[in-house]
Amino acid sequence: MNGKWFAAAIVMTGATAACGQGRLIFNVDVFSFLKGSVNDTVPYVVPPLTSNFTISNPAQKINLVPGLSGSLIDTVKVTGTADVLNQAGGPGTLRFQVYLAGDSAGTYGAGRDSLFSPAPSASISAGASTQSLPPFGVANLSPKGNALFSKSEVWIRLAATVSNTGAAIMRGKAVLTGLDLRIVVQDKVF
Amino acid sequence: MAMGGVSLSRDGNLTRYNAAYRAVLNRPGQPGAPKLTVPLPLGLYHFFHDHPISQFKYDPLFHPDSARFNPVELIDLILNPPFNYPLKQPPTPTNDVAFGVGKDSLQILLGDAQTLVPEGPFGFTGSSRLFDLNLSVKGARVGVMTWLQDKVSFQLGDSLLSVLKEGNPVTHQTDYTLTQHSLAQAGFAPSLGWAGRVYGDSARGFYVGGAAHYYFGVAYGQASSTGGFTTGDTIFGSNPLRLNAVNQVSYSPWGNSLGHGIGVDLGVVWVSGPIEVGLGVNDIGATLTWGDTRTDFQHYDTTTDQIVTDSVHKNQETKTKLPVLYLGNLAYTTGSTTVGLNVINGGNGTKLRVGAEQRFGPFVVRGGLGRDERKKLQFGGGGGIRLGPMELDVGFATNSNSLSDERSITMATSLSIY
Repeated sequence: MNGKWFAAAIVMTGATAACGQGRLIFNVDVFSFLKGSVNDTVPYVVPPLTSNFTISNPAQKINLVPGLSGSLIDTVKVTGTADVLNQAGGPGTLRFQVYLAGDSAGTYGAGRDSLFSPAPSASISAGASTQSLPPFGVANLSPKGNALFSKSEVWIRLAATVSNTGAAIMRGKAVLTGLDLRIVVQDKVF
Repeated sequence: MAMGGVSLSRDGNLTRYNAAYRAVLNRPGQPGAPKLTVPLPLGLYHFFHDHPISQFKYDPLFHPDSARFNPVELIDLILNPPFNYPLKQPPTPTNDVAFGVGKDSLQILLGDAQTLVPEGPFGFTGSSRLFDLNLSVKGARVGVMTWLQDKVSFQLGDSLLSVLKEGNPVTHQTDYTLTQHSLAQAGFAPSLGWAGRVYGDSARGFYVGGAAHYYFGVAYGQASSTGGFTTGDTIFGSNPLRLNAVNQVSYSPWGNSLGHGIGVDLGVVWVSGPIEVGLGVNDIGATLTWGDTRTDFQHYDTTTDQIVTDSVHKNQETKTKLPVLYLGNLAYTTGSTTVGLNVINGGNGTKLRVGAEQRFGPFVVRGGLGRDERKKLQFGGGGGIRLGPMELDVGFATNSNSLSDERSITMATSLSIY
């Protein structure tokens, strides 16, 4: 994702409309920034008879508007969709997850916030196949996830955890097909 | 204020804008001009009660970083300095504001706040004489006045207006700009004038007046800027939004050589019994020449993210012009009743005002209405009581000097000593 321009968009629009007692609502099509790049795909190659083999993309930084750092985040709603393209091997299962944290290392640590609990998952039959994960979403990341969006930046990491019950190497990729954020900013009472 | 801005007394706008009024006597049965009028700034009390000076550094009104900062509220404060007591303040928008952001999309939905986005130029402007000291002998007058002109004007470009006013999405390869022009100049002017009756008597006469001013400009500055952003083939793609700004600033600060210029005021008044008609024009031909002006040309450098000065031109000669102000008035007096009409341009657009005053012994009742520079009808009302040599007045008036379309109401009080 081009975090810089995501940030620029937020800064520009936020500066224009830090307005009134009402709420600011940012509907951000995060996927549009990831689409077509390697950042929307988590490829996997899992040895035979292996459980809970986790693969992830590197964490990516999203700069947030400075004005948000002094604001109270009311809600952060997340919705998304993803496909699993199994190219060979299997059968098995795949769980898809998105992690948020205040820094890169944090997306791997205990302080991370998993967007989805339980993680959306799919059972994968042996051989080449394509299937969609059920639409996933979180109505509100509160409180830990919301707090992340009250800082100047947030890091995001996509991961897939694959279990291969087959006797052959399981190969494929989880592809994000949609990820939207709805960030609602509530005024802070002095 | 209570008469919708109509000035009937000799101490108000009539003498300010019409040099002939200095020779016109008070109307029979009407009080003369007070020796001193002291405004009672209840609005300042109200403002500092709500915004204590000791809390300024925490006050969201002045801190854009605060989540409670409301730019509309701050702009309204600038447009309406809080001298008068606010009985009804202009509303500030409280609706939700939504932004749609994607790699190739940007949409801003201001909701009700769209009404605050001005389609035409917006800002404030004025021309005033803050201090006027003079000696008058048999109609001739010599003195000195201070003068001040300020003007700030903004204009949204068509494409930015479309995005903010109509909620249309940002499009590719488009400039989104805001332009501003501002000017401030101040100085003093020795003046020589005369006013007198050239025909008739006190009941029926024709008066003329004039004053010539030699303007000294103490300081001036003006700026013209255009800024905004330009989209590429993708709104937030590899060809990023390009911020752009160009700025031209000219100024002659305090301490530089003074500006110089000559201008005149002219006025005529016709009085015929209860009827009075006048026309005064100020600052005719008032063009100042500033011999030691510095002009900077600047632009925003996208590489360094800084404003870069391209060239500096010092010791230039520039000229500025004071706006020509005028006041036309018509008044009719019968007994203790006076009605009047003013057409005035005080440097911020032409206003039409109608008002009346009725005296009942020591009491006075006033009312009026007017059309402001936004062509909106405004109302005023109030009264006063005379207690010996003092008169306490209170006035109420609506105005639309804010970003909101709704009128606000303010109250002013003053104490006059006769």
